Amino acid sequence: MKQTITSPSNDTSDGGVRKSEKGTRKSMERYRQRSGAKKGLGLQVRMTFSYLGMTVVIVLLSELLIVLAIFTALTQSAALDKVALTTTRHTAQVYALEAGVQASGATLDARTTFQPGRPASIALPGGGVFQGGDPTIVIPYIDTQVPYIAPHQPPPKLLWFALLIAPNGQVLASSWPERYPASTLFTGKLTDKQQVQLVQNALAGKDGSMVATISQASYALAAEPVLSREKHVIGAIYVQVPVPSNQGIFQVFEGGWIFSGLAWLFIITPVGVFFGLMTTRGLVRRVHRLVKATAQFATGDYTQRVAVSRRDEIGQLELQFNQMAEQLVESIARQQALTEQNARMEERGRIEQELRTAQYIQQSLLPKEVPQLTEWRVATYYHPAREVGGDFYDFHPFEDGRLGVVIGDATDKGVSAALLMATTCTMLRTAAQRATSPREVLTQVNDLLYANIPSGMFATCFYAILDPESGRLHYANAGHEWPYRRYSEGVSELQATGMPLGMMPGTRYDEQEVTLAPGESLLLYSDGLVEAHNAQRDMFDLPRLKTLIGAHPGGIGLIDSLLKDLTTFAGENWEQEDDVTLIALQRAPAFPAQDPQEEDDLRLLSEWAIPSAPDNERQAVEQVAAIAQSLQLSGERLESFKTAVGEATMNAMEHGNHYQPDKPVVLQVLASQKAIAVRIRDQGERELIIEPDIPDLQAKLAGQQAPRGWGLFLIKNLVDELHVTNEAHTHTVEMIMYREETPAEG
Amino acid sequence: MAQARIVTHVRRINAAISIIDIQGDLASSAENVLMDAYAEGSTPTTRVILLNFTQLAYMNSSGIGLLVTLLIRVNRQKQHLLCYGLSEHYRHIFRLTRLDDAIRIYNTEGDALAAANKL
Repeated sequence: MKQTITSPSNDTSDGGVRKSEKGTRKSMERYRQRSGAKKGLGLQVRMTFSYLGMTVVIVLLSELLIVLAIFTALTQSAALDKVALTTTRHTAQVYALEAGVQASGATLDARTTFQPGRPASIALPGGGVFQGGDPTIVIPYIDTQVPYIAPHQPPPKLLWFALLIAPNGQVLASSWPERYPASTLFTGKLTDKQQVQLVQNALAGKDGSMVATISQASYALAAEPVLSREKHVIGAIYVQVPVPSNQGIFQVFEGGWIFSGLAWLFIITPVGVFFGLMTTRGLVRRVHRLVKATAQFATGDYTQRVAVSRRDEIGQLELQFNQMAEQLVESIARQQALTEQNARMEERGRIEQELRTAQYIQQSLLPKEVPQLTEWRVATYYHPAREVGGDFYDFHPFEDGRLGVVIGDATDKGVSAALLMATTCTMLRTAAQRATSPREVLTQVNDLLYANIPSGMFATCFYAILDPESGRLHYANAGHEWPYRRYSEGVSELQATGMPLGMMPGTRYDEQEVTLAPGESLLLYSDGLVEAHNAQRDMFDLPRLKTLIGAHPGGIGLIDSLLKDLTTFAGENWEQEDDVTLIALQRAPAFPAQDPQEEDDLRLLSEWAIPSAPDNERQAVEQVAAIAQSLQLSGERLESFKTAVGEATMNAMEHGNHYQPDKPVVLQVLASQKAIAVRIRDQGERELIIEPDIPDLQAKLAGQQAPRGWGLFLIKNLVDELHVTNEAHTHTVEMIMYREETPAEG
Repeated sequence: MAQARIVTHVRRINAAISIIDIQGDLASSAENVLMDAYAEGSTPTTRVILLNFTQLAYMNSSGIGLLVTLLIRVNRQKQHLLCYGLSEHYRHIFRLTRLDDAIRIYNTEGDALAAANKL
């Protein structure tokens, strides 16, 4: 049988796992490169800028909304007019008050002027209307700053001015001298009636204010009388402030808005950046950890796990990563375990296949059939403890009719023992072709084995050469168990000494001789039988074997009997520890009477005892049958004889010994030229069992007789002769069956 | 009593006929098994019990006594007891004991069933 053995290098089971891991890592690496995995810093910067942008936008939007709200409020309501009017009136009041304070006596002092460049002052510049005025006197204004518009100075966008007017209507001081020069009458400059009226009222001591439309523009007008200490009107202050239009408001706030916007930007930008950095730091760090763990995972480090710090979306991702990692590790472990299991099963299958092959080869070395010898019966039994074993046996037929019989046991168990067994068998066969005696065979094989096997290995062997005609048996032994010879007087061992084969070169082997008489048996065995242990660790042992052989009539039935005894001893669940080999040889019993006068004399062939127990009569039947068959009793006569033996044995066990195991039934088989006899002896003391000659079936069916009671009737009708003898403490039944059926008498 | 070395199997062919397949040894230890098998195969409508001896290994006088006991029960139920598959040696035993008069012997199951259907 050709065997294909898979070498470890071809085995991809483990490589498959590694391939799987490599593939996973490669695909993850490619994915990472394709997707352009970005570094955490970029994410943080982007997120920070996002925060910053959002912050700036929010601030600017907020500012815009506020401005729009204010602008809408101001433009859509009269509040703006009121604010302007109030401011103008207040300014006029302040100016009037200050002018009154600065006035010396009852007239306005020339020193009361609008100071150039200082809109808050109503002090006149040097060289103003009032000559000789002190230009250094500055009266600060409160609340509103009316700008002083110097000559040739472009007027501001919001044209507001203030006039100090004498009681005679002459402009004493002007914040806009180019347009409203001093020493001119105010009526020549203030064109609107409402303006004039207000001033006139103020000069009359009545203050007033209004919002008037002058030249398609709204102005807040206010006039306040300037009072002396005596509360006399010494002049008037006229202030005119344009009410801001939409454009005007926008122009007013434009610069402020721009300024505040830029200010907010400069303030918010670092705040936004700081806020962005602080906010994203923890988030990005967690993402970092995930990225790092994933990268480690892709390189094959499956121990990576991330700490789940929060229960947010990132936390769920972390948790799922850990779960995925665990599942992947478990999956890889399962796959690996499965791969290993498959590899082990594959290996086991391979080993089993090789063992089967070895078993087949070993079986082929053993004899296919037992030798067929005239007047001899041979039986074998071989059962290794494992698929292959070290026991062996063989038969070597010689040309002169002799038969070599071999039994042996190679050291160790299993394949090594099987190999040694094969080697030894082959050497023995070869040596048997050249040698002339068992001693020579063992001597040659011993030297050959010693030279060709490792030290420490050896084989025991018993080798015998049988001359079937004479019954002479020459034998030699190389450390094997001594066979047993079963003869009429008992059991003895075939003793011979010698070292096991292959142990020591040049070993000398004793050779002995014995002659087996007709009816005698030989049992060769290996130590697997005697060294078998039961559950209590008791050993089968040699004394037990010897007793069992002695209790058996001998013959090839001895093997089955011993195996049954072994099963009984070791139990049904016995686990065979060593190989068991048995060879049984029996020389057929001969009809010993040579003298015609003695041809009817029965000669004892065999005697043995069977414990009295139900169903043990079967054992007696089989044992007697084996002997009877060897004496050429066959067919219906044999069957009848067997039944009679069974009935008589059962009768002896039941009625004689009352099924007491310590009272065995003794059987003897005797033969003459014409007949075979069996004597069955029990220890009962009883009268002859009286039974009807012909049991009445109808009476039994009618209940008039017991259903049983057929034994003696059968015996009488199945054998040719029946003799019953009562002696002291024994009861013997002798049944005789002629080898040839005799005509019925009478 | 020794452990029974017998195995039986009951087949109800029809309402009137049952077959008891006997495998192993028919000895004293088989009493309970045999009687239980008869109890299983015997119904109020059963008229014929067939004993299948094709796998009978051993029978002694105690076994013959059991068959007599079985016959008594069969007769009590007014049933018939037939058998088939008996070896030549045990047919000889049946003849010696006149059991063949009470238990008809047939060669095959078919023959036995044919005879049973006529009863």
